[in-house]
Amino acid sequence: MRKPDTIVERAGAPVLSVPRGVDEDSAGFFAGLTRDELLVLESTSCGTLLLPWLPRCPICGSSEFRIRRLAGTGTVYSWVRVCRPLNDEPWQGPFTVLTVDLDEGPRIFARLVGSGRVGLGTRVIADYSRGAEGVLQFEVVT
Amino acid sequence: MTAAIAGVGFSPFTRESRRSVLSQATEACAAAIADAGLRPADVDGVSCFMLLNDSVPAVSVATVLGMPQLRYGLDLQLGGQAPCYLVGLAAAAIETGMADTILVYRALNGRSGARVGAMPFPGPGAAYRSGLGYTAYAMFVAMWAQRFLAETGQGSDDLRAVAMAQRAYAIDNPRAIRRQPLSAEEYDNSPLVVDPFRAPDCTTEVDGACAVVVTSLERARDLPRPPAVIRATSYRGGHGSGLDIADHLEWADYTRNYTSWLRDDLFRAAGLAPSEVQFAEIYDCFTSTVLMGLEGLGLVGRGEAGAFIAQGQTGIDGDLPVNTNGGLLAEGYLHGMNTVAEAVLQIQGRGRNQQVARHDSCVVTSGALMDGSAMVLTSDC
Repeated sequence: MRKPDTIVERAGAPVLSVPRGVDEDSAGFFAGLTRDELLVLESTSCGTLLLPWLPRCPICGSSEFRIRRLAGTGTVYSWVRVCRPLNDEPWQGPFTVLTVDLDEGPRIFARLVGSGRVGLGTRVIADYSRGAEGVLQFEVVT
Repeated sequence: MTAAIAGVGFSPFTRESRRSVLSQATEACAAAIADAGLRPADVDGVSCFMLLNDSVPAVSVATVLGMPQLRYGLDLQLGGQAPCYLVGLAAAAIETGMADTILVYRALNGRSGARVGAMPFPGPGAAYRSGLGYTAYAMFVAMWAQRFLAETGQGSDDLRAVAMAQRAYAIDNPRAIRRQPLSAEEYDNSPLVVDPFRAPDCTTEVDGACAVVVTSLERARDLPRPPAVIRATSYRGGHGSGLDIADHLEWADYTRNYTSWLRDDLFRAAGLAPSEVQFAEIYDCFTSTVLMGLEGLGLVGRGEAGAFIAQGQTGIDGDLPVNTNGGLLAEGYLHGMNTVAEAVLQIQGRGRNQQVARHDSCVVTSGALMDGSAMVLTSDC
């Protein structure tokens, strides 16, 4: 895999939005974020960790879950840097969104914060210190 | 029974139609019916697709065109995944006797009205994107492109090759919105929109409509245009296709889209090997999806698409002409309905100045990411 070209610079604009479209299935996840907790559903019968939160487990079909808190550490699977406004969202300048493969398995989208440089495979950690409420942000592990 | 496409029709592609979607839809559908040598009374099925109600329903077209009765009507809630899928559904409906002759159309004010590029897609997965500002379609495709380019050892040179090769086709296409030649320097100097995409990597949104007429091959043989025979169609959503059109959290591999999943079934059903296809019309809302589609279908090896294009192999004199109307990138974003229409025109030998020399078989794709559809068209020989 070619890596040098995939480096991006700083994180960019602050998050201005709050999550929209939270429903009965995802409410628990976003409630967790407001408490600085990254929560997933764990199927009690097969142990699969679900993210997004789903009404039943795609692997075993069970709807019996435990809520499990994850460490908030992971690896960048991909990233995208938004360089100019594309829609009516509030615009404060360029920003970067990460696809993070969490260490426990599931995948999540998050905003990049802090000054680190990221590329594919960069280690990142959830940062709850400067976020808009309910918005997941990660920074580079230094 | 085998089905075929017997005619195509368009309304003008513009940046501001100042017309209703229904007016454009019925113009394109009437043109397609006339192109097939038929009258509206000969048509007993109408189908279309739309995103977030950006179009008019099939029944409205049947009503305005005065069709005596509708035996097949379908409004599919999908984007660019739909065109080949709808052609396949029409073929199946004809083969099972549900209807005799079916219109498939896409019509929208995609530039002056609701723009897909600016739509924040709702759905069960939206909450995981909305707060991040991760809301525009270009961002999702770019997220895949970053991983795809890195894993396959490709980069901006390869995206540029797609944009330049397709623009070369558009210069002589009167329907195309972008007809100026594109130099490497112009490409490199255009600003990044969403890394790695620059403006020439992105489709251009348009107002307009496009339609095709599907009927039995037997009937098509009696009509004025040479039939474009539907050899095989396939729709596929791979494992973890997501909670909505934009959700890709459950999709494991951003370097392989639906084309990788349906390839074997499609070519087996068509009785062709990928190498036997003479030209290809690959869905191209962004340049990266052409690379991924060519590789996913096995038309080139993994990581080889960019170099193949840069060598001129997808040009009019190349081994495998690709996106011969300039694609969605240059002709305009009719969400792949015009991709299907271009394939039909080429098979029929009506490719204008861009007619490919060998036009007995082609593959067409619809869609960019998790799910999508494809078909193999051949001449009637």
